[in-house]
Amino acid sequence: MDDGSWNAAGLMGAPPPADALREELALATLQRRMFDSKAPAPVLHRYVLLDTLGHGGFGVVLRAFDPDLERAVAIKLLRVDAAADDDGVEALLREARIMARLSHPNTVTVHDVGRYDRHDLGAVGTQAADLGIPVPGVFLVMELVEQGTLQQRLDAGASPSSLFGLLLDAGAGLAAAHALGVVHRDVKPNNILIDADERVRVADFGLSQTVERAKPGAGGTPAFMAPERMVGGAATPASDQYAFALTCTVALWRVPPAHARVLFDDVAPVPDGLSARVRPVLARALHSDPAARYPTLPDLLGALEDAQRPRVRPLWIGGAVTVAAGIGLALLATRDDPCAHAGDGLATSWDAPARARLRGAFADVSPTHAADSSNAVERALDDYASRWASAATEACVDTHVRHVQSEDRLDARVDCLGRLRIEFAEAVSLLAEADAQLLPRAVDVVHGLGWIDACETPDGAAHLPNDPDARDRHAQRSRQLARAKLLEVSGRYTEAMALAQAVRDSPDASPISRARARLRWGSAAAGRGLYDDAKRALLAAIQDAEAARADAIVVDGWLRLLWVAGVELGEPQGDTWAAFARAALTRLGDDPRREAELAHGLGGLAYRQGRYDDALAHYQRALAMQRSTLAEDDAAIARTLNHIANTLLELHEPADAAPYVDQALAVRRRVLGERHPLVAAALNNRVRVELGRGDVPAALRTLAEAERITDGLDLPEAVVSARLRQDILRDLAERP
Amino acid sequence: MTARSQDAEDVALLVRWRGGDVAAGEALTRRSFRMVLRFFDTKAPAAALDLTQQTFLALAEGRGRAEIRTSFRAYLLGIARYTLIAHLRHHYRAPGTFEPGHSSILDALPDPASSPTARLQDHQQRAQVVHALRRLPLDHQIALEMHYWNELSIAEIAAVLDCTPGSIKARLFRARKALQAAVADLNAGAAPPLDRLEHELSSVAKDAET
Repeated sequence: MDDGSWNAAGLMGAPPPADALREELALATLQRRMFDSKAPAPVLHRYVLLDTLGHGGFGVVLRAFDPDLERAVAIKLLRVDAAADDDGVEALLREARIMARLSHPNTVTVHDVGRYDRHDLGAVGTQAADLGIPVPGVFLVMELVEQGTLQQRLDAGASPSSLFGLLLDAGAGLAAAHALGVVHRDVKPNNILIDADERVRVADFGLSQTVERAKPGAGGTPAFMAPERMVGGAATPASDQYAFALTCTVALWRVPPAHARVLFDDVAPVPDGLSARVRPVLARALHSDPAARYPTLPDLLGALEDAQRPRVRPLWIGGAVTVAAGIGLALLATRDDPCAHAGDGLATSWDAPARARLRGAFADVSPTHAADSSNAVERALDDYASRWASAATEACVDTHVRHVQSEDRLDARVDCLGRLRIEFAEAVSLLAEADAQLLPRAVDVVHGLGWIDACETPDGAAHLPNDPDARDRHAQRSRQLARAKLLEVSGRYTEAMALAQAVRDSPDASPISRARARLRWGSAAAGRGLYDDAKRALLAAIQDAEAARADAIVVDGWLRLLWVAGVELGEPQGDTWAAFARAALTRLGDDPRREAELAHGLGGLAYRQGRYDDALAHYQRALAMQRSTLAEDDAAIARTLNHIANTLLELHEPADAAPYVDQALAVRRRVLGERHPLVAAALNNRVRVELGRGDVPAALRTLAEAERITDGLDLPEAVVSARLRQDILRDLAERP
Repeated sequence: MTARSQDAEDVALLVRWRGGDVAAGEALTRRSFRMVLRFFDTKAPAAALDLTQQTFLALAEGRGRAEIRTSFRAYLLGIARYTLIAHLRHHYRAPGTFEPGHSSILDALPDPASSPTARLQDHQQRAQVVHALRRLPLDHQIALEMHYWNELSIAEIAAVLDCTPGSIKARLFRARKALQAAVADLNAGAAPPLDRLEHELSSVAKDAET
């Protein structure tokens, strides 16, 4: 029987290894305190040794007490290699004495320094070797910094932006030592101490050189060592600069030192809260040729500080240009300006031949309604293309003419607009293949295109791969996702799911692409009514998006989950999903379209829970926000109108419901054409309104209209119409 | 020297110490303080030395426990446990309410930056186990350490925890399960900022792959 004991024995393993020196010091302290023992204490010169703080290749660090000054101190005992010439030790002592004169807030203060031998160690002298105390050796007495190291901060998962300032402080400490001619030789996260007040101190200046003298290139930590030192070169301020830059990279990008190459690789995203301009600065400091690095460490620190500082140039710098921009873009575009063609992107996919293909396809499917539908779709595409062009021009002008945003931000906006351009091209090609099923939804396809305004506050720049093949695959995935979205909008859920799955499973898909693919899959699955599958996929999408810090996708995930699980499945956690949607939305910042979607979702939850008054309030709020941000004909508005009507009917307020039903009907007729099933759905609602008023003849007329649309078709709207007819007939039969 | 004769010697030293023989006390302390120090090191490292001292003072005065039921080391560790609980109750967020059957060390003491756990960085897996142990209810942690590291018998562990031997097996069983879960939890890596739903998310997300 498995009671877990075998596993547990393996898990528990051996007890933690003993620290013999620590135990010896603890016993001595105990005996002294408990028995007032007169036995000699473990000491080093006058310092009473209390506890070990760490062991390393160089020796050991102890906590000790200085009885003269009555303070706790840290003592470092360093091995003096027998093979090392005395000069090495002398150089170390000389540097330590210099450091003892240096009083800088970002360096560990050195109090005392010297050599020691067995007989200086009191009670532990005879067994020094067994206890791991190097003898003979060099000791350094330093201020005791409680708390942790930068390394521990990293292990605990500190955010890059919280570390930037600490790293600059460490650099300042290092620079102060350089100014006195002291080279650190072993800069790394473990040697940067951070106390409880967030004060940073660089520790262990020059310590590695005792080892180094014996074996050139052996001092210091190889992982952080500048290339010139790996081949036996001397430690210099330039090699410290390299190790410092590597420490920064490791801390900010959260990569092992061996992977610092991410700096030179555009694929790796710049960490949140960090300017993209930090990257080239660190890259220069990490140059393999010391001469190519910054001349001094303070130069590097200055460049880092500059890079991280927001570089938005104020408007007044280019006064004349600003005025010109204010006069109008049209005027500028006629000149020799850099943004003249910024808005041309969509023209290539939406040209005269594309229009002809669209009309042809519509005519093939439905000769009678072709002109109507085709006109509506063309208008919608034209409208989208013109809004896209002005957004693209605006983004360009902000950077190159008005100078109110950085090129990084332009990149992010252009990247966002680029995604929309791909969607647009896919929409045009999908519509050119329209069939009987797609035709009624053709305008929905255009309305389903990404929201252009959202590109003003894009989701961080997606760093495109440099490798052309990888770039192709990336573009291919973008097209697939765009097409999947449009297929979903046009009701072709199974195809949308298959495309989304292909993207999700493609081996080099970025986390963001994967998150988008999962969101799409879940969304399409919900369209097919596969709510449980949809829920799982949406949760996975949220997880991926959280990991990739793709806030907008996180919000969309929660919003859809709220609808699928809370409204469609009626699960009790609906309010929890809504709370997470709200939280993610707060983090994302101002986004009225998603705000409206959340309000709509809350309305759905309340409706599902039978709180019709609350539902009405939420839906009304959603409608107000949608009206201020969306086109009047947007499908989302029609949907909200219809839901408001449903709620009012539940509240037995048919008269109040009537205007909403009529508006929804009007929007749908205009956008979808007279014969669309959703028009039938709105007509069915009107039947309910008219019945509520007691106007049976009107209800019968409206019902007949609905039935004409769904006649002979196997649609849910037809079922609703049939049921309504039965109700009316029964009602009439029961009347006296 | 067999465990039994060593135990007899420990008891003899204790009797002499309580009778006023300081040398016997020094000898007994020297023989047994390591076990006590290590007991505290995995639980309250910053206070380990002080707590060790308190334990030996209580031992000398015969406080805490009336008799040696099974062995001297079980007796001594029992005193150490009471000393630790008193310390934790003092430091617990609601003073006095620390309950060793339910509360873990982490409930009372935050993980210190510099501790024996931190000293173990080169032994990743071991550090993780030490870490996971600290998340268990204190008596689960003690039972596992006694069983696997100190190799105490069931009867001895019962004496340390002041309960019947019959309940120890069940306690060890639960403790093992809890440890496995804690290790698995640590291995799950950085927790997403969704702690409330973390569990549901990870379990649900797994089968969403199909």
